[in-house]
Amino acid sequence: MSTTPHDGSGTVISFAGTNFTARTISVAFNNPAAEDLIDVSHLGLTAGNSVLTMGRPLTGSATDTGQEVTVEYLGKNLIADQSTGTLVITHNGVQLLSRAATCNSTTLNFNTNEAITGTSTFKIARS
Amino acid sequence: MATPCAGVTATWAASGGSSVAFSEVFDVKVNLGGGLPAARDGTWTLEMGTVEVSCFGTANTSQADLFKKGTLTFSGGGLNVAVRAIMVGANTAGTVNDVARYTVRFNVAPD
Repeated sequence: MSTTPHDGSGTVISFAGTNFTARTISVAFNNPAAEDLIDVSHLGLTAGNSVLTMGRPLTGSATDTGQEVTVEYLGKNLIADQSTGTLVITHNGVQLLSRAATCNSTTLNFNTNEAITGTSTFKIARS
Repeated sequence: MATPCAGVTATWAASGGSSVAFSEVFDVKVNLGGGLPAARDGTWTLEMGTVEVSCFGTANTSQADLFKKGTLTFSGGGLNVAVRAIMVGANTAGTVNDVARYTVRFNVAPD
């Protein structure tokens, strides 16, 4: 049976060797070096001039890699915050990500007449 | 038709002093009037108005200019105003990871 490229089924995620029954996986890669600019435009500029900007004097946090993965899963797997391990995401047998990661947060939800679900957020180390 | 607020120059000429220009002005507020006339001929009042000029560049004013009377002139960008005013205050604000900002305050004065 052929698979469509935009179908998320067949994706497997594991952290520190433990597989998750994931419902949703969100991968976000942001450039922490992207400049957060200050608008220093002034009334002396004439119509048609470009907006004047300058970079912030301070750089971003040295520990911010800008890469984060959030997983929503079934089960009562409680991943401790600050725990570390390798986060692996595989889709239809093709490895998309295998990187050292640190768990930033875990939330477990126990609701009447519903499956136990959890959500964990991981900070990914830059390769 | 609305006038784009661009190409504005702002200068302050204290009496007995030379004219100085405010640099990198990003905000101007001119409020004329505010009080009822206090003179019989209706030409004078304690509250004739206020002016605030905010800029990124150094405000080119000092404590020595406080309470001096002079002429404020704005031209360009729809702000064609010239008023006699007394400089009554100046603020300097510095915020982490931002630029310094200056605000100079004036009270409008009679000629």
